[in-house]
Amino acid sequence: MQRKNKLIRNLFIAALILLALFYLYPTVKAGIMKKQMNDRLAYIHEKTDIPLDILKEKIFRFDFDLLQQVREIEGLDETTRDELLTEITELRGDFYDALSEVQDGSIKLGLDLQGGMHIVLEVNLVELMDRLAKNRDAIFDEISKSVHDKLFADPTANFEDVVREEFKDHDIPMARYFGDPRQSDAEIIRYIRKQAEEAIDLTLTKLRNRVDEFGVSEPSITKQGSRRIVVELPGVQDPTRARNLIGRTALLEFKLVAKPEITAKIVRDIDEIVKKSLDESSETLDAETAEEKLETDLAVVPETDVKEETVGEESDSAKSKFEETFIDEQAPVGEDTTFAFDKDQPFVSLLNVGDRQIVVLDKNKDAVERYIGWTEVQDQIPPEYEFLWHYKMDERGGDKFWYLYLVHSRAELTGAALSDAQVNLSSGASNPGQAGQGIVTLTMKREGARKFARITGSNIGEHLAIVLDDKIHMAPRIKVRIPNGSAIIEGAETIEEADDLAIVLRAGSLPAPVRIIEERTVGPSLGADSIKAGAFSAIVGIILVMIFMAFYYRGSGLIADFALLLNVIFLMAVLGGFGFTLTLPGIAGIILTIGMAVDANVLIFERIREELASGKTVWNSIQAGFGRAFVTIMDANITTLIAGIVLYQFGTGPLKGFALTLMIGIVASMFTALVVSKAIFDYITTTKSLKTLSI
Amino acid sequence: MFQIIKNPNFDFQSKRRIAFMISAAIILIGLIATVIRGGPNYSIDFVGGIQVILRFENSVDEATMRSTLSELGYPDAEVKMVVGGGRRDLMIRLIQSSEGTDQVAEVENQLTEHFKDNPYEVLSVDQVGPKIGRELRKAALMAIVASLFFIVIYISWRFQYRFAIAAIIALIHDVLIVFGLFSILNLQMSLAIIAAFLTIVGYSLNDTIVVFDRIRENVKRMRFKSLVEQINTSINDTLSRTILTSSTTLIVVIILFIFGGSVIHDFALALLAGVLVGTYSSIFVASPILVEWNLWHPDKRSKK
Repeated sequence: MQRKNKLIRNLFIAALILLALFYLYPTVKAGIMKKQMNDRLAYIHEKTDIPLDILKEKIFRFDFDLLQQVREIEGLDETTRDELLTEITELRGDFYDALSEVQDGSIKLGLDLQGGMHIVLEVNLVELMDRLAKNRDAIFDEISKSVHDKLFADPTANFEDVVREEFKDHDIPMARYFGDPRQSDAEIIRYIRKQAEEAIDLTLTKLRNRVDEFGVSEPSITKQGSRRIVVELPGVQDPTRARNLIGRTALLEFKLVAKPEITAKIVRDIDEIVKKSLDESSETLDAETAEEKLETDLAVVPETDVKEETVGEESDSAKSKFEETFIDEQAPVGEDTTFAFDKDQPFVSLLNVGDRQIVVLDKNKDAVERYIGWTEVQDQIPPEYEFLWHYKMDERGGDKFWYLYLVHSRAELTGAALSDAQVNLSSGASNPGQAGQGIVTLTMKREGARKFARITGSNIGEHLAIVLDDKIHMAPRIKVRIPNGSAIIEGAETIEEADDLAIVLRAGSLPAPVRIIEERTVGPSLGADSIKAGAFSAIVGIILVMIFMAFYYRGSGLIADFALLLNVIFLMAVLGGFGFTLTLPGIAGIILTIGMAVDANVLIFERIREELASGKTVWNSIQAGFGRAFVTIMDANITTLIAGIVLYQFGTGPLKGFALTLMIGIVASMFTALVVSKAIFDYITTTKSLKTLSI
Repeated sequence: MFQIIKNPNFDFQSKRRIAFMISAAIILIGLIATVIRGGPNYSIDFVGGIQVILRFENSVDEATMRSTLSELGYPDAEVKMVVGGGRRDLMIRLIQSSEGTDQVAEVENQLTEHFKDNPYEVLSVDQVGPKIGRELRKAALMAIVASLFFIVIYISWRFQYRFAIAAIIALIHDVLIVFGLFSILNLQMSLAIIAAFLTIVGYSLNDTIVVFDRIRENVKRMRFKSLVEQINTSINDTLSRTILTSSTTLIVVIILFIFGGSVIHDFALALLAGVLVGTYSSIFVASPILVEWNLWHPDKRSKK
């Protein structure tokens, strides 16, 4: 090679190394700064007793008034307090700015390393179809159920094909339920699909709002395909909470509770059906044991008022109106509080029908649910009514029970009428058990308030159920007309639960039924374990491979070792410089690269040895060795690269990280072996005329 | 100069039929094991379900957890102890019965209730719907088929068609053996294991190509020798390189296997087996196939 070319090559290598170090710098710096931050937070924790987890999570969140908290701590001497306040201000100021700057350029850690949630949501097309359908009837429900079953049995089946076939089998044009009568099935399916896409876009916005309020640093919410949404929440501490916040539809509805006589009648009707059906099959059943079993399941429900639904005790404004409106009297449990199984009343004996609500022991809930689910029973319930359960089990005197309500199917008002939802603390004045618990106060838009006033005004004495996602949260009695459109929801057990409820109500309900179809959550400690294990493996791997190479190839082995180190630096620099994310499989890829990267050098060295053995001079052997190994290295690495590219293309999530590090590693090892090692050999052979080569 | 073997000159090709039989036997055992176990042990990635890893404050053993879950209404739950970060964690796996129900929260609530005095931390949750599972299975299969396809094209272009076929047979051989090993040990086939398969494909191919490259060279250089001799010489020429690279790769894979943590334990095991088998196959499978092919259908070009 010409001297000038060599100079250019060497400058190129030097420039690349500098560039790599430049890109690696933020990662190293960010690591050091995080360590410093943890030390400083540990100090604050030591002085203030604020849990370290909370400090770590909230230190850069300005909606959390840390300064105020520190000011309010008692028994802290003033110098320490001042010191802590300065410390926090500094951390949130200059330190934060500096940290965010280096973090922008540093290697990002995947959710599996830093901990976090990865959730994939999908719009359920069948449910969307149900919602869009007009004039639903039994045939439609049958078709819908059949479509659902078929799609469940074969998840890869095409929705359109299944729907089209089902309607064809029933010999019914889809236009009977959708769009206008002249539209073809194809047009209607396109319409459903378009609705799904629009719903996804809207869902995306609503989820963004919810997640923003939830307070996660750097959440990512993206659309995948036409029907899926991927939500990534790094560093989430409470996955259950996050799952609830994202996955729930949050459809708020106000529904009137059916009048007692109607409830009683329908319950009796159901009883008849169940009885008839049980009688028919009783021959096959051992009635006695069945009875025995049921009887042991029955127990006595406490005779006191079962559940007291209080009204607003929270903020004064909401309280005054609300308290005046709804009295907190509760439908008492009927006189007869003892359940006794009665063969003549198989259904009724499972329940205790009160004025407005039905009390069901936890043990009997499954049976009641099953009976209600029977098709014959469903047919008997007039379509304008439906059974809904209270959202939570109640417990009194050791007995666990549920409330079941018969309500009007039609919602008087929905969450769309809300303008705001805020959390207040219950004073516990009307219900001491709930003191200090969160209550969500709803404020309605002008039109919603007007409607609410009309509803309350014309239904005084009735009970109004507040239904969230088909679960009843409360069903207080309307005492007077409420003109200003304010209402409350109570029952949240923790402030967080109330907070989350307020968040989802503010963001609004999701326009389409979405479901979590995939979730990958890694807790912070597992992530930390993985990083530790990965880093340890990588370091031990590098050291052992380096010792091995130096032992086998002596002087030349050191050149290979240098190339190996450079290889790892390049790999990390590319990850940092291009903003790639490092995942656990990615670390595995790096470690594997360490083992495989020396291959190119081994191929070259073996060739040089062969050339030396054939009696060539050192310089000639080196030239020939590099020359002849070149083709081999190219062919061998390109085929491995093909496997890597395919893996990257087809792989999902973290696997992409593995393919990525593997591919970068292969390219880097080709460069370090063919160019950098060559440059070092050239330098050694030109400065000293070697008679022998340490290889 | 340190050498593992001084001027190796083994006659590998005379043993090729024995090698074929050994390979066939191992693959057969693996496949029989798969059939006996009723198909591959798919992880939830491919069949849908829930997998949670819990770290209890006071270690709970597998049997206790199994009976607890059975009591709570999950008789089919699989429970496995995994060792990570110096702690003994429990991995619970449930095949999802229906889509959409929040089983994770349900199970967590019940366990929290049951182990009131022994709080636990949720290390990880993986929840895959059956639909996604099928999609992932399809994608994984596609990945393997596509990579083999592109490799055939590349090798056919750089070498000859029959080199490509020999290489592919060796790759399928490697993957089948590791696959069989997983069936024998009843380990789960997850997405990560598919990634390991593709890595094995890449690694084994790398090894095979190095030998092929030397064969290509020696066929020209030793044109008056028989193909068997040419191939034997080529394998011997590259033998020390083969052993060396396999050694460094094995070093890191063993480290990964021992220290890499529970999450990549099986992945490292697949790689470990793959590196060994991949090295073996480039010497005893890929090259001998060229010899057999030549006996069956002599190629004029290689003898010119």
